[in-house]
Amino acid sequence: MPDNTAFDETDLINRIKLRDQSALSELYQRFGGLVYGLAMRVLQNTGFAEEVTQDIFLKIWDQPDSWDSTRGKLLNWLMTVTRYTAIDRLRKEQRRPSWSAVDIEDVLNMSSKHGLLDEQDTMLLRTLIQQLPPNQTEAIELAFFGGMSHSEIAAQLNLPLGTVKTRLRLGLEKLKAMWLEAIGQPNE
Amino acid sequence: MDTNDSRLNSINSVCDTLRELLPAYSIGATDEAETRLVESLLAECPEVAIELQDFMRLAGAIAYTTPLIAPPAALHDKLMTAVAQRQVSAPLLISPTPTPVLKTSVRWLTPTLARFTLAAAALLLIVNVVLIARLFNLSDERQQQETKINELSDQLTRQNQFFAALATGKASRINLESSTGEALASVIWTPASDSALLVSNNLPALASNRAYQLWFIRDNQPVSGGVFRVDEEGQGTFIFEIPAPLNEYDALGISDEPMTGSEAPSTNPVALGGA
Repeated sequence: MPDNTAFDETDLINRIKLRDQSALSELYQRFGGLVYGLAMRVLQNTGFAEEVTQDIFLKIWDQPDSWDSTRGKLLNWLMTVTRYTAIDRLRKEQRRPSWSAVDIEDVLNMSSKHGLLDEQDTMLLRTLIQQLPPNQTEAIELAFFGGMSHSEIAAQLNLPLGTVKTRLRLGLEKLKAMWLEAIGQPNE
Repeated sequence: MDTNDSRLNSINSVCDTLRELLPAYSIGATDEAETRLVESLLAECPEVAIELQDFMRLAGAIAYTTPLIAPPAALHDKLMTAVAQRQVSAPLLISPTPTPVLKTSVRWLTPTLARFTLAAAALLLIVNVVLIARLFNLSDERQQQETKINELSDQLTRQNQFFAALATGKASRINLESSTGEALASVIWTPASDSALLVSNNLPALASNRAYQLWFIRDNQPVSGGVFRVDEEGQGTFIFEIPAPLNEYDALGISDEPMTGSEAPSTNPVALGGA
């Protein structure tokens, strides 16, 4: 995880707005590994992942106002936009219809108001995911990183649609409950 | 009392459906019809909708579980080159005067310089044509997005009006059945609204390039009510505008049509119901 101490993201974006190329370079050096890592996880292809990573940073350069500091941390914005862009690219490459996911603006509104996860939080979540039954983890990963819908997962795994829906729902509900418990905000 | 109980049971059932779909919806795993269903039910079930925020936070957190991978070293240089090119090419877009190269008399230049000048002029011309084409594309995309936003806004207004009218409790239901009498879909409507809701329970799944089209039929003349799709289990919802109260029509029908719909039914009805 990048070190976020002494890092003024608003100042960095303001410098980008003033067309300071060194600010973009700094942003890339800080977060390029996370963006590229996520793009690689989704696309499983170095060429495509490089293109998506470059597109994300060029988007920041071309439209620095697209990140709104009142809606959360810059890295959360970058990760959400990276996932959406990478899944769009993946679906195009696989000639699948466009993604009917939650509107990205809604995601940014709801998921980004919280601080960044630190290394410990990330490790915790990885450990919690490992505690799920493997078939639930598989369904979550195909949906989250593969951008697949219920019916696409069912077709991919050759399983009844109802089975996939149940696995995904149970897995996410259990993961949410364990995660909220672990971070001290148990389900009501 | 019975009516109240029945409405409460109906709301609970709808909210249970939402609760079941919410986790998958939060990570983009719902099919298109399910996504539309969730979005239409969120306002109906606020106590379930509130759970969405935690699922969204979880989804945001899952993205961080991917390992950090150092991008290839050349990618940084490639990015910075692209940025530098953007800065250099930007003035071309706003240049208020024609480029002087085009005004230069070629015969006074040395042959090498003349060739270079002609090549540069041609290159600038090509760049400008490409940039103008890109501007037109951007303008088209913006127009398409605006149209989409207007469509969604209209749809939302129709939904809100319909649910508000439904709350008056004067709704009627029309069952649409196959030729063998199997119940495939229902239409809920009320004279208080110019929209109605179609709920499909059992329509057969369609090929990816096909859609269902709803028809209002009077005096054997079908009028289109719009196209919609269902998921692989035959479930889906569709809110549509009604040109007149549905009891003024002889029947409603559903046929299998191309994605963009047809002027008139091109296949036998999949489902029919008397209005």
